[in-house]
Amino acid sequence: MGNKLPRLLVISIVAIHLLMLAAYTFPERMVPERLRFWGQWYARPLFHQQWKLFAPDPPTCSCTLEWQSGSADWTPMATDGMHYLERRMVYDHCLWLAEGYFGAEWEARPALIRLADTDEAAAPRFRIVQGCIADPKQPAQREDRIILLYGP
Amino acid sequence: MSIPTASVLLFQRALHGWVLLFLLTALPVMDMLWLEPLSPHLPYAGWRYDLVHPLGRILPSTAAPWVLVLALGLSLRGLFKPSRWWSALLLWVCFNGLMHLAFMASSGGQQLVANLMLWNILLSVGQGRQAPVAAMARATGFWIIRLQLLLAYVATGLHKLSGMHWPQGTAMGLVATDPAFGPPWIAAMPALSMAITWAVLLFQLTFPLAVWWRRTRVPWMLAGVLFHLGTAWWLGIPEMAFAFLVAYLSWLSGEETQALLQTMRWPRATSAPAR
Repeated sequence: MGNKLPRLLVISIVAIHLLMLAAYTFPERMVPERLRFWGQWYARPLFHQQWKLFAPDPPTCSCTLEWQSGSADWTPMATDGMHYLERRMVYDHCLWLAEGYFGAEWEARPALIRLADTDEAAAPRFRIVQGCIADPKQPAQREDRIILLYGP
Repeated sequence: MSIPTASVLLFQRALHGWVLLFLLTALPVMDMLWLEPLSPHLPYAGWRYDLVHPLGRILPSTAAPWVLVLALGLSLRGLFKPSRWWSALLLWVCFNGLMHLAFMASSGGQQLVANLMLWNILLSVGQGRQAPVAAMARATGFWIIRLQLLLAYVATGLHKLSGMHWPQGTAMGLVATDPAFGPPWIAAMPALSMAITWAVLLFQLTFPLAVWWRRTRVPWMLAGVLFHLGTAWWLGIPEMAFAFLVAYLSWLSGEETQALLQTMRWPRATSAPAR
């Protein structure tokens, strides 16, 4: 009995923790609503995690942020020599703007100006270029869709 | 409830090495991450958020550089000295605080490491001591760390199965032709693209089973190394790739750990000194 109780306690703690995490991270339709609620309450913020990179499906539209000043050509904000974390922030800003996660587009403008390494005096304009797939069996063929963001 | 000490030591050192390396590689863009963060402020409230994300809540955001220095020091310490619960706790708080300020620069790698670091606190309790409570804490931390890795694979596998393109075999084509990712040449070979799509799905769903048996553990881990190195290069998520590889170490047996260290020609790992 001496060794059984500690072992049982460890197993119980581990099992409950994993169950709550599973309720938090598994697909919604696999988890009863009440259990999902408690999983979210338990997991956030101490154990926050989401395992949905390209899941359930990869995005069918690419997302590229471009900027322009004056009469210059539109230039992609993510450049080859860019730091990988900076490139990621450019991409995430693109996704957030495309999905409307910012309360107002103007909220993101200061960040975009910094990421483009320019300033407000240059009166930069920004746009999102999405390359969208029509046929998943021919993914290289994409149709461009342009979303002009704020600008003078 | 014995746990392989050599594996735990290697895992802990690799975990601290990951944190150190990540923070060092982030220094060139620290102004965007922590000094004048580009990530929007998240409006979550409550004492648990205050505890986990102290910067901007119970500590001023301007304290970020000091928190960064502390995190660098603690991770450097953990690379060479046995992990202690207090340094593991401090490092976890520092890391969470920094990543909360820079959440738009994070990936699943930071999320995984934050969870591994949390349970490393328990894994570091009373190392070398055999007191029942300390042993229970270590066992709890150890098994949650191990099973956390499996949960990540199961969760992503189930999400992929619930979609359309992974079961149909077209997912890799979508990823490969996205200018933000790659490799684009995969899309020119539909059969290969389909095979890789299903291979990824199969790997992620079977890894949680294969890892329990010695005969399948090493081959699946080697496949995982290839998979994650591929994602590091083509998806631009090197820290996520290496986070998973750090977690792999928790599944190695003592003999496998020694064999790995021999291969890398490192000194033989020994148990933490008894106190």
